[in-house]
Amino acid sequence: MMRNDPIKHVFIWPAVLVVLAISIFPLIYSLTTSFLSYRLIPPIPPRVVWLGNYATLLQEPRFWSALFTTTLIAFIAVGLQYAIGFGVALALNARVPGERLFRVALLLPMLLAPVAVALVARMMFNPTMGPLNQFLSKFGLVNLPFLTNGHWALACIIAVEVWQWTPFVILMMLAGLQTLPEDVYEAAELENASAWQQFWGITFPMMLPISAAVVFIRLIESYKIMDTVFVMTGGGPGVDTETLTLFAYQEGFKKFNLGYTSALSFLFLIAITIIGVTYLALLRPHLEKRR
Amino acid sequence: MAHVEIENVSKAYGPYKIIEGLDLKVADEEFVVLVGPSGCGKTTTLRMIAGLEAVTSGTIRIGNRDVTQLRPGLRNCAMVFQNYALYPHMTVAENIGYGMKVRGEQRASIDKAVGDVARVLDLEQYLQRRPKQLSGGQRQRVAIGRAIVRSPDVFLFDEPLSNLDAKLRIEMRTEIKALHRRLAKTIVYVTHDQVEAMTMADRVVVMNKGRIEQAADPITIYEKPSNLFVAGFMGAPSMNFIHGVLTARDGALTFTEPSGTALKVPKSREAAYAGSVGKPVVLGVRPDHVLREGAPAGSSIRIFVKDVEPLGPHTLVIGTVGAFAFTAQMPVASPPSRINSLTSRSTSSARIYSTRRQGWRFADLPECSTTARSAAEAACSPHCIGWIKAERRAVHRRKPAHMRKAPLQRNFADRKQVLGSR
Repeated sequence: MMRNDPIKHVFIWPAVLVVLAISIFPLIYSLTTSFLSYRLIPPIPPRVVWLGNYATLLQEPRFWSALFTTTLIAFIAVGLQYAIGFGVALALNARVPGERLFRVALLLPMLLAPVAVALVARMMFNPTMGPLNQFLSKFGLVNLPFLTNGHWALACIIAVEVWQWTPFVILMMLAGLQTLPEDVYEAAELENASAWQQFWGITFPMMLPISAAVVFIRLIESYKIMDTVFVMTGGGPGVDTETLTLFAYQEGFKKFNLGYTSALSFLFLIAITIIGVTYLALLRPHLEKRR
Repeated sequence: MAHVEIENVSKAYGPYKIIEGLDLKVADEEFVVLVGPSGCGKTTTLRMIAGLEAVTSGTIRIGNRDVTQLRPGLRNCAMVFQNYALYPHMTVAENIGYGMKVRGEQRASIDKAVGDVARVLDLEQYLQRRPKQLSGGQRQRVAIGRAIVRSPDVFLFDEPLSNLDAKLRIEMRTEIKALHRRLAKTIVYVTHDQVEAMTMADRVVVMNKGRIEQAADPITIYEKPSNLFVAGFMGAPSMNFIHGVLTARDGALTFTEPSGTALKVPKSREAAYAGSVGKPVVLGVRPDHVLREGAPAGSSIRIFVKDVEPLGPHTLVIGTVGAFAFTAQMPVASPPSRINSLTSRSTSSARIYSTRRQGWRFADLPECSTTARSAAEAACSPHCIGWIKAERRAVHRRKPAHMRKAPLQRNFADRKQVLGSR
């Protein structure tokens, strides 16, 4: 077939239209909405305010606090997930007896619905009725304010995130570890490199590309954290654990302030893009070395 | 000073015994090549010396030091792997210097050592490249560089050239040999390529099924193989084997092949083979010892030609003698395709093997040397003389597969022609 055969249009245009309809249109629609003052309660006709919503948001301390909280949760949770996940993957990669059982058992949390996990966690962490406090009280630690103190609540959310999503890191890292060539380690063994030297000199650098991908995926996902926080604390106490998604939810579905929420979503998108691009730019020189 | 001693070493994976009771001594500065078919245990042996495989029983000593229970890093062996095993994320310089870095040596001394090695191996302009940016031969040189930079007691090579193309393989062969001369270190080299074994080794160790069949210098291996396996494995094209019986007839020993081909055993050998009279034996003839003409009476065999393969320096005539495949190497000057009849004659290295002795041992080791090619000697010593008879059409160069007749049909046609020409 020739390159300029007109039949190509039959194949190309439906795909283009589908992509436009399902992906680009909602984006443009919400972008236009973000330039409007558009409230459902009380129902006032939409009014164009251009960047007014954005300006208000950027001056809103609650927005900055939500952004900070989200970033805090995302970075600490992903950092812990990566460190623990890599460690467990290394352990599982060594051929130990019962390794299959561990592999399945450790992957289970990932398969649970986050809402269910959050509900269970809320019970566990319940300051008065939760089993954790019951247990800790035996050691003289009475009534720890797990979900009622801002810092404690944040730590609990991070703990649940780590518990649920470390399996994903384990899975990916294990897959990566299994592709590493064995003879390279034998060569290092002959050089009398210790296990620690082998890890830092060989395993870690060779796992860097997959690590970068895993951390990137988890980072982006963590920024979108919603259900765990929603169920466990609802953003409280006060707005101490309010994340960006929760803030958007409050504005959009509690106050029906649609223009404002759209602007918030766009700021959220910009924030994630900046973080993502910075992350990739920082890693690029290290990754390119490994091409 | 680092000789390697392997004493009664066995290796088993569960119930599967890979190596049993292996004994081998490698002298200091010796270049020993372990050769054998795949699965014969040669790589396992090498890895046991390196410490990458645990020994099931037995002792391994390197330079009087018992290293059997030592971990690989403490044995002071350097190994070159088949797939090079370079660290993909390091540059050539980092790859070569990794061992020194691991041992915590000074940056300056690492740089100096790496520079020296790079100069020796002609790698200087590639030092900042990564393995992926190098060709196979260059990667191999980096792997060798990584081995020599630490000046080990023993070098271990695990089929290092098998991933290179034919031309490069020959070049690297020479380079490794030159390196051995320069470094004057003990080298144990594993290969399945008998040409590599023959060309590089001070001593060739032919292994089969976890046992050493013969360990000797290359020429001895070629000229005086100690058993049928070594005889068949070493040499390309491999030695022809014809099974038959040795009988005393008319005051002379005669080797008779089941289809009737008979060959007189030369007088000089009769005493040596007398013990095998009346027993089934195997006649071994190297293809390059088959000659076209000049055979005395009673010492010729008929070869049924199936194909002719021109190789350039010589031409291979492939066919059968009775039920046995037979390959003869002919000078290129007179390819048999242009000759209706062809006489072949072997020189003295045709040998008779007894099949009765355990392990296919030789009935004896004939003392004649293969260099006896002069007319006078040839007349007194050859065992077998071959006739090659074929029509021109039947032995033409190989046609493309779709133009060839089915082999069975062709055989039949050839047979008719041979019969017809009698």
